[in-house]
Amino acid sequence: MARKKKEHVVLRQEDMLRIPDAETYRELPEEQFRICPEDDEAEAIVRPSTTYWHDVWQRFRRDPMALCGLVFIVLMTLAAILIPRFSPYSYDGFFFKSRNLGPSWEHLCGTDQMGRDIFIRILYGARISLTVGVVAAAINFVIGVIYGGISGYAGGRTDMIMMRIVDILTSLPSLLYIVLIMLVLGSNVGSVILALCFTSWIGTARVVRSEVMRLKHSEYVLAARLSGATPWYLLVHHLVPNAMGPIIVSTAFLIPSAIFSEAFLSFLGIGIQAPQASWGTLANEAIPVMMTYPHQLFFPVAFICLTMFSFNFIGDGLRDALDPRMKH
Amino acid sequence: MLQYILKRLLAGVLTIVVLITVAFFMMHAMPGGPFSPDEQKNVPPEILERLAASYGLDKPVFQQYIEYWKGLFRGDLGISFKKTDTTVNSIIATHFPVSARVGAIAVVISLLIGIPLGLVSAIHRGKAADFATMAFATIGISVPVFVISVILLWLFAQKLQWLPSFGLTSWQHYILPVACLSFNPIAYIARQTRSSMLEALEQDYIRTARAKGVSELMVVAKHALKNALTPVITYLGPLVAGLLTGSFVVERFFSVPGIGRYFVQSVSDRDYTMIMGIVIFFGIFVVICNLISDILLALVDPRVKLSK
Repeated sequence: MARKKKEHVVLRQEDMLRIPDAETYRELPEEQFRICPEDDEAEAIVRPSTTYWHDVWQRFRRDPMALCGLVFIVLMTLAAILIPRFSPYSYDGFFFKSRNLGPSWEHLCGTDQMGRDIFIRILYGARISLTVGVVAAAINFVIGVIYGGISGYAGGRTDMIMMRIVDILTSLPSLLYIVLIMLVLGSNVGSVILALCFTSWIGTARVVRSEVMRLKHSEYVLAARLSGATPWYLLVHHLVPNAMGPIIVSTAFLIPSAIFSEAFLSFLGIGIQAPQASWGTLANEAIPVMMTYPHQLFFPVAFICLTMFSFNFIGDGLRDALDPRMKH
Repeated sequence: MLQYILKRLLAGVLTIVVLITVAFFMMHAMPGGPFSPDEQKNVPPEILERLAASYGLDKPVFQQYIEYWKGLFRGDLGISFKKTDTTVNSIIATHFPVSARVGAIAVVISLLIGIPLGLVSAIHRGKAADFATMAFATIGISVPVFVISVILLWLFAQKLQWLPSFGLTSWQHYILPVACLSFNPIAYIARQTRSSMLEALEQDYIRTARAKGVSELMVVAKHALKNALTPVITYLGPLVAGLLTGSFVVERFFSVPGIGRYFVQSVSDRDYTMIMGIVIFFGIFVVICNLISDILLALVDPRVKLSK
């Protein structure tokens, strides 16, 4: 924005240099002096004040890798939503004539053993992966904030019991409950999300707990409490908003780990089942033919890796932007 | 110190008791079972009933729970439902050492490569070495282990044929599984070491050490590294527990006869005694590993007080 003309005493640099010299000082023309206005215009705040989130965005967008990640995720989301609607190919079915084709303009990533277009299947997989990642992260966020907030605010015995419960949950082998849940509820997106959410909120809960414990003795919390705020009000209006930075960072890293777990489960054959296309099932189906048709394995795996990269870069960028002290 | 260890052990025992209870009832609460007529269609229901009765499955769940505890106190994890004539104890005894051997090598390799990588990139911050290391580390935490396994298997075992692809009969057989297992931990340790090292190098005591003429090598090795290692040690507990108990994917890919493979199999088979045996074993392992890493942490970092 254009700087306002300031009515200060304006001296040019060469004038400044001459000041110590008494002779030249006298030679300064009178019109170079202006009188400072008295209405305190000099004190006025010229730039718009920035909010915390504006600041965060300013820092985030200076991180090229994080921006690339964000662009990739946005593009992939749009493609996953739009392209399957307008594409002539279906993710399911059997097309004898077009089996095991290599990549071409007609089939961008080639076709698989059943003659299905791999690019479309990858986009369907992207729908599953993104849904699993975002929904799992959102559920984790809610449970983690509530559990960690209560545990950290209550402290003492309540805190100890809640933390012991968490310790027990973490020592349960994850495969045990995941496989049991999948067996009981059947293999679909919902049960995968439920299985993944069973313990993954614990990381967020721990972060929230330690932040709340750190913040609850601050003066502003004391002030709010003295003016009669209930614990719930304190948590919602003071403690959680102030702990938002670390919470968002830990949630951001949950998205790639949820996507990873889903691909992993589907790859093992206990996640999403064929003919539905998850990236894990795509990779798994391509393993037996990886010597003859490597492209069938390459493209799904490339998408998994690129997505993981993007989310990790976004997470790193968010961490640096939300907590500049941590930046290295 | 001793009091702390005893206290933690007591808490650990309590955790295991709760773990056993939760796992036992969760397992029995799920519909279906090892001899349920819905899943075993080619066996007459009468025989299934007999089978279930011979394993005591016809009794009320709570009584089974008591029976199970009685067995546990004798150190007996029971007989596998699906692998007849084999006790769970013997299955763990034969297959755990295999997983543990591969896992232990992977832990050592992760530390030996991960920490120096992190150090180098922290010392040469912003230079080519830092950039290369961090690029590698980002790949390491982003690429799933099954992808790594597939790539390495394809490249070294099938394309180049340098290394054997399955079994564990010679030292070459260890290279691929260990490489796959340690790939992600190396990346994680390198990132962690780098960031905590950078933080340590900015501290005042480092400036003091430099100012009084301590050589750069000593500054890094003695003053900074010790403080930079605490996050790595915290990570070590779960890492050791995770790797030594075997990775399902890696063991399946490279046909390693370890315990990780049996676990998934036993859950889908509803092999109750087998599931419980492995859960208890894993649980004890996790508790002990966490305890050891906490004690190590206190030994390295005097600010951490064990008595708390």
